Amino acid sequence: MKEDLEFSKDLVLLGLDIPDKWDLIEHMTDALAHAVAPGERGGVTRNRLYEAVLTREREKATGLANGLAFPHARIPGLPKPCLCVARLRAPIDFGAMDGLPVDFVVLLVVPEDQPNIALRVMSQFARLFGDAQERAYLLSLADAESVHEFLARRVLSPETLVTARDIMREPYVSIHPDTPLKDVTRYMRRFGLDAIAVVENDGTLVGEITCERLFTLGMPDFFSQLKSVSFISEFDPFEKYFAEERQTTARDVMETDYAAVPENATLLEIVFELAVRRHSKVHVVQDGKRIGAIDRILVLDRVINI
Amino acid sequence: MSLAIWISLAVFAVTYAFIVTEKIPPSTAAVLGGAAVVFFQLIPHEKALEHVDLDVLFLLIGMMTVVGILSETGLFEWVAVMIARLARGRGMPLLIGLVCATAVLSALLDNVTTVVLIVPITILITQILEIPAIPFLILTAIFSNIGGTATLIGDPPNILIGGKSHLNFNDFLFHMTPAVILIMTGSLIAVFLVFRRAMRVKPEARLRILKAHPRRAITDAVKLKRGLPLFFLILIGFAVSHVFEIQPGLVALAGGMLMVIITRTPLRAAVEKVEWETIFFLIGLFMLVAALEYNGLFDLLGGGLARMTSGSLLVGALAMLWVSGVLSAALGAIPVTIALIPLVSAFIAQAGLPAEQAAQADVLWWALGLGACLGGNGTVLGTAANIVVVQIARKNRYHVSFTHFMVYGIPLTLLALLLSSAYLYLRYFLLALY
Repeated sequence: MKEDLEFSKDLVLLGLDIPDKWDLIEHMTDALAHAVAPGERGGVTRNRLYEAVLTREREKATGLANGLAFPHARIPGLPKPCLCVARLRAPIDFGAMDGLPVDFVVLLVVPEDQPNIALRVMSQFARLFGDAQERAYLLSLADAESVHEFLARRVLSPETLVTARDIMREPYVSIHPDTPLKDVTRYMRRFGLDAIAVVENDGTLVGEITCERLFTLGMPDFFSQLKSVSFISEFDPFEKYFAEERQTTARDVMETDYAAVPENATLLEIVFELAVRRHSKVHVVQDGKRIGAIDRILVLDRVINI
Repeated sequence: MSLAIWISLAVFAVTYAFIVTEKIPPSTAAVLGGAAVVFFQLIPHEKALEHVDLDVLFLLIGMMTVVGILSETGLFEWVAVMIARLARGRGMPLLIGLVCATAVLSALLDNVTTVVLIVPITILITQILEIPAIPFLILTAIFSNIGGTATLIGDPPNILIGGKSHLNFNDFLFHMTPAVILIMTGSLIAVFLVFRRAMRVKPEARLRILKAHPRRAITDAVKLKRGLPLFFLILIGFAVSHVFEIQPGLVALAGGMLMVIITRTPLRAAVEKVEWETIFFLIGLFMLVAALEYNGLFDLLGGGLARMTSGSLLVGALAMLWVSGVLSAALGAIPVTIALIPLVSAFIAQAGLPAEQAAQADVLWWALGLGACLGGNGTVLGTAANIVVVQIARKNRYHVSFTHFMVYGIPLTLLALLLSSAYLYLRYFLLALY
């Protein structure tokens, strides 16, 4: 990848003191336009680069987690990917998924037909920043040359596959098997969840409750055999649901055929679970413990819509 | 009896034990049993295959395809809601209306398909009206078996008899339908007398049905407009097929494929509606019984029966009716029919009937048809429709136990067999209307 990527030590910016992310993006785009000759950029102007990254960032913030942000864009006419990294003196808000400010920003522009490169670079940076030691080492390097050399060796060399760990979201809500059903539905509504993991106290994943499951609790089996119900106007199937809700817990209604993958599961495996086996969520587990989750929106957001 | 007969009987008995106890799926047991008789060289391979009646299988596959496509239109929900509306939400008229509709549909369609379509909407209507669902469910199964008795295509025993005898669709209409009308009338009177006080509906519940919109039940009017005329054409095809020496199975199968084209249904979706378990069950049983027949068991039994009845058609017919009725209740209508068909053939061959009485011997087929179809109502295990209804009921938290079903099944079966005996005697022996 390294040979196909425009990334020199001039594109490593250290000790920046820019408190606003929009200003930072502009600054990094300028650096990129300065370091990469117009001929190498296929005639793509600095303004086009800037507008493209800005537009993508306005669609959805690209702050990841562990202090890393990844502003990026796909640009028609760009002959090869160009990368610029910035280490900040003080962390700034980048709308990161873990809610924390970021102090390392990776700006990447790729040819329109090569979004997979953006995905791989993002995965590799996310993996690097997921490792506390490696992250600390990167942040401790004193000069641009060392950072460039480290990234070129550590991040940009291997042609690795995107795995579950790269795109998963840290688990932020789960329920215990003894949670009353009433509370389960409240959690799901509050966090806007299609599916919620049922987890023992030690983090072991034991089941999943989906919206579909909750709906079918209120729908007796025979409804699934009918072709329509619009001919009946006065009948309330949820009467039974509410009658049962009082004494039911998550354990009683959870399903155990949830999708669980190890952290090194490939993107293909994940999409297979979501698209072919029609699970609304894939749980990422390590030794039976839940360490992350990937849902359809997350794949759209981080993979397809990159 | 030869050793081959004994071994064939042993394989049959073991297979049967698996079928009845459901330790493994009955269809799997039947196919493995069928394969076993060939492996043990109790019958040559090609002879066993000859006994797999493709016409019967074609008929079932074709009709299941046709009905599966029609069911997607919401037609059956429409029928049930219309009946509920016409009954104005009153319990007894609704019960009678629904079981009559089930009987008529079962006469034209496969029974299992009919109950799978009717039972869910029946449960919905009983829940809306707040009346007990279980009598409706059990009686739906029972009347689907009674209704199916009326035609060649209605009940599996009739389909099997039609496949192995010279009798055609019209013969069944002429001989079986009057019997079924008699039995339906008697059974409905019994149902009315038993349930007339148990079906009271609260006025506010009745109002819910009166506010129903049956037309909204039709989910695909275009498919219905295309498919329904073809369905009636297929029925006409059954009635005239013997003139062209075409078997009903081919009419049904070709009709099913035409239905696929005309309604623009993907073939894969259409054939998914076929109950392949039933098809495999029959394939296995055909081969199993073929071994018994090949080794001469039915010649022996037929000869014995002919001697015991002294060649009397009346005694033979009544014996066939009650024996097939009791056996169907205990062992299931399909295997009993497959086993008894060669016995009827052997009896006719060995009873030494004079030439002028040969046509009268058909009474034995009618006796077998009535006995097997109606006897299947005695227990849950009697017919596939009974089993399916009980399964759907259980999924919806209505527990119908074996004995609970028999409380309804046994009296109505006895009534049906008594009325059948009267019908056979009066029509064929007293009035001699062959």
